[in-house]
Amino acid sequence: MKAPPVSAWRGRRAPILLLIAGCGVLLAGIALLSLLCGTPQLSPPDLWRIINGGGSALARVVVLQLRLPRLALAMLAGAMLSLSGTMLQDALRNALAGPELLGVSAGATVVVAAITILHLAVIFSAIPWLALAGALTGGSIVLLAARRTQDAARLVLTGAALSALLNASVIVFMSLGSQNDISVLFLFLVGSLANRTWQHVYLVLPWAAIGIPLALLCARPLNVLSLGDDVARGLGLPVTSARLLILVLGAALVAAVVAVCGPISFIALLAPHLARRISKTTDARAILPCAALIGAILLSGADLFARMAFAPQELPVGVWTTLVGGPFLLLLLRRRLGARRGEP
Amino acid sequence: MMQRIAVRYYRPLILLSLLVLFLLVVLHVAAGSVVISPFDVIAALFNRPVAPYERIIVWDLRLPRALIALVAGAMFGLAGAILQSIMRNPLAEPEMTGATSGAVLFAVLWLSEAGRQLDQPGLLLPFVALPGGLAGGCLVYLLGGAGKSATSRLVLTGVLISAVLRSATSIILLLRQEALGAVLLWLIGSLNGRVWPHWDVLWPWAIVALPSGLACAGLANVLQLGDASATGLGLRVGWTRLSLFFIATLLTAGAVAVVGGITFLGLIAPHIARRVVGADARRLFPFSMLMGAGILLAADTITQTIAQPVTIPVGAALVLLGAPYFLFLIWRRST
Amino acid sequence: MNRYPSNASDHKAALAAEALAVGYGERLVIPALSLQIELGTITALVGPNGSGKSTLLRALARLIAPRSGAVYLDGRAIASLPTREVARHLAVLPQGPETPEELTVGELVEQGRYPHAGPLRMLREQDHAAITEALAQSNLLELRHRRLDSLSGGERQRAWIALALAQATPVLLLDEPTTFLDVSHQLEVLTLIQQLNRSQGKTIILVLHDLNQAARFAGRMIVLHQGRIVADGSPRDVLTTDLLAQVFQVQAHIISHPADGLPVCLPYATI
Repeated sequence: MKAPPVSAWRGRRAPILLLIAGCGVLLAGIALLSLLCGTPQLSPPDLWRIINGGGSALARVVVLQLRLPRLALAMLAGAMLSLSGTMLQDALRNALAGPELLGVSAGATVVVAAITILHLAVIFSAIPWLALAGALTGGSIVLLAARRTQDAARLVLTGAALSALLNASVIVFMSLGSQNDISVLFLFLVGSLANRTWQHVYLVLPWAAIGIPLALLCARPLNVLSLGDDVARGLGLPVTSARLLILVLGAALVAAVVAVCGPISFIALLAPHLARRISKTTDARAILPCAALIGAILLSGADLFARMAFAPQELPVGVWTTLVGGPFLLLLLRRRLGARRGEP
Repeated sequence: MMQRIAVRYYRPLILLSLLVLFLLVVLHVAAGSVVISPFDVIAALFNRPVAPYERIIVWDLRLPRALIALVAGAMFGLAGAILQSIMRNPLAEPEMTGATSGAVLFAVLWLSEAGRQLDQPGLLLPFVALPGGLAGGCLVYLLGGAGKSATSRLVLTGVLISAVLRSATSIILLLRQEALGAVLLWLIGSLNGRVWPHWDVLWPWAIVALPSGLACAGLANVLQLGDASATGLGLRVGWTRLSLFFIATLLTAGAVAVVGGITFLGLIAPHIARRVVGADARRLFPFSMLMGAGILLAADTITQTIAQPVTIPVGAALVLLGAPYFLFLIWRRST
Repeated sequence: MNRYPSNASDHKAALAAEALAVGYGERLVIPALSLQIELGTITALVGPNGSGKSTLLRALARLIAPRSGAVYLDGRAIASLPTREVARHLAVLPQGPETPEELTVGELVEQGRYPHAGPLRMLREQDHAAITEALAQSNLLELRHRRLDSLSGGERQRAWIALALAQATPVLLLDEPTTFLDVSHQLEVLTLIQQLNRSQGKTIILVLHDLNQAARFAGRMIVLHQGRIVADGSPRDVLTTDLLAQVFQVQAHIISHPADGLPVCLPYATI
């Protein structure tokens, strides 16, 4: 019988807090580096001056209007993506669940791509809502199709098939557009944080402000859900509606990020796995905040790398998260997949 | 019910399908900005007297395109059928072998290096893309195929490696934005401008891979029963699965190299074939080939006739046609 | 215990295991087990959950490779034989087999001829005869063209048995062939198995978790506990209250079946 998460939590409180503290420190370090590094290379005293209202005009603009919003967006987006991934994985009891593999990201992307290429007249702030509609549609198609199966591979296959469809649609859209549109859209499709300003942050902020706390509140229902549907019902959880709400929330978090940054892959898949590995527990009350922090670290770190690695050329962060995240995930899951299937 | 009839009258069904394919080829050649009557097409094909310009159009322009559509479609259809058999999952498709993303990556590398001359690269493109496809497939095969529970791992490896290769492609495209326009058409999959040199790239692979795939139908049948039963029947499961995967990779790489990243064909053709003739690979594989060929020919014919003068690439047409079917398919599975 | 293969030719053992150690990953399920199965017998492998009965069956069927020790088929080491040759002598029906949905009964049973016909050869007369006979024995001739997913649980199980029959092997291994079937289907399947043994002399080994079924249909019961053989003999000798207490942790009465005197155990309390 699986040990109930409660006792694991009690015994592990101290290490978890330590982990969170460690993540916090790491995050602060990355944040500092992000603000300092770049074309006007700044030093900590410069930064201090800027915070206190001084510093050269150029430096102020660069830090306050360019780097800071970008950093804020990276942290928010990273947290939102990883929370979404954690919720999907726990609610579906499937280690391979992730918005990029379940058609959620692809659904949101198609909508945003259509809006961009077809130059649809849509209010800027309405875009995340439309993206959400796309995300939910994509996700629900996959979930409906794979509903009766616990087999991880099946779910991934269904998701891959739908994503192929949606990605092909996006390419079709692209072929209809002008050269300029194509470049813009392509950059978007890869997932990027470049040139994101406070306007983008404000767009995401309400979604984050409501979504993140709500996600953290889902910890208890997630723990109960992980015991199995029948057991959960027996414990008084309205399983179907709870799962539905959790999945909708997960999709909403992703949709908001996609609307602003494009589909950034693998943060949502990786962060929960890393969080579980490091904290050695599956209690959602610990994993959710840890994953959020790890996601923020991963994405802001990746963005820093994207900016600095080939300076002055900048490659979008989405490229790096896939290039590094993909193989990493493969490594992480290899042994797990081998043990799970086939061998009784 | 349909399955029983199809199985009973399998031979006539195949003959009928071949006839339909021939008609489709004729139709395909007939259609286009210059419409040639089908009778003239047949006459030109059989070297009867026709107007010289018609002969040129038929023999130099349209026939290679039709043949490429025929054979590439068959290759996609067979690759999809093989993959669906060995994965025991009707949603498996050739993209999963990594061959498509590998081919695209090499093609993009080549296009961005070869730079401005857009015509030359077009001809050499298949030669470049093919090794890329094979490399992608081998990568997935090596990383995901070893060991016992290969199916899950193969799926995941295929999906992840494809994603990684796609993002590598994105890097190149971002660094060389001018290549973007040329690549796009190829990414979706198109038969525009396919002439005899392209056919020359395609047919050797077809000759090798298509019969190999068909010959493996018996093995695929046994694999379908599950690893334990297959071993019990004396099959070397791991080796067989990998060989079949390799053949599917060959088929996909060859077709993608010439035609581009057409998605869906490898998913839908075997699926329809399965509903008509059932799951026995000895019937499914050939019929899936015919289905793939027919769908691609039909789709290309449609893009040639409708939507003139804007030419929609055939890959886009397949997405537009395939999407509703695919959604319907998913809906069926969920109920 | 005689050592193989020196006396291979004298022995009537169809299948034998010697000092077999089998496990998964780090877990060792069977530490060291030796066993001989005689030709023409029905043997039931029983034991509580986790005792290693399925593992033993799979090792005997060469579905898993043992850590150490060996399995001998007709006196020859099974690991050294080409797998298709093994398939001509030994058929296995694994637990809960999966099928593609559109497969018909006939198409499934045809696969049983694979070890004989091979993947490329067309089915010959003897293959068709074997298939028809297998279908007849399992009472499936009318259902030949029906899709597997349209059959009942019992019919589907019979189809898989027909597959094993079409393989036309002298030895047949079945892993829990009656689980998930209702009572009448269970008896149907077991009666068929018994008949195959009586009329064709097939050597049969089956894993069962119902002790009474094992007692009724098998001539020899081997009881496994934590990977070792703790009892081996006729049902009458093996089914004792002591055994049930020690191995299965239950208190039981053993009575004689009114119809034929075979032992029936009636557990009434846990220990």
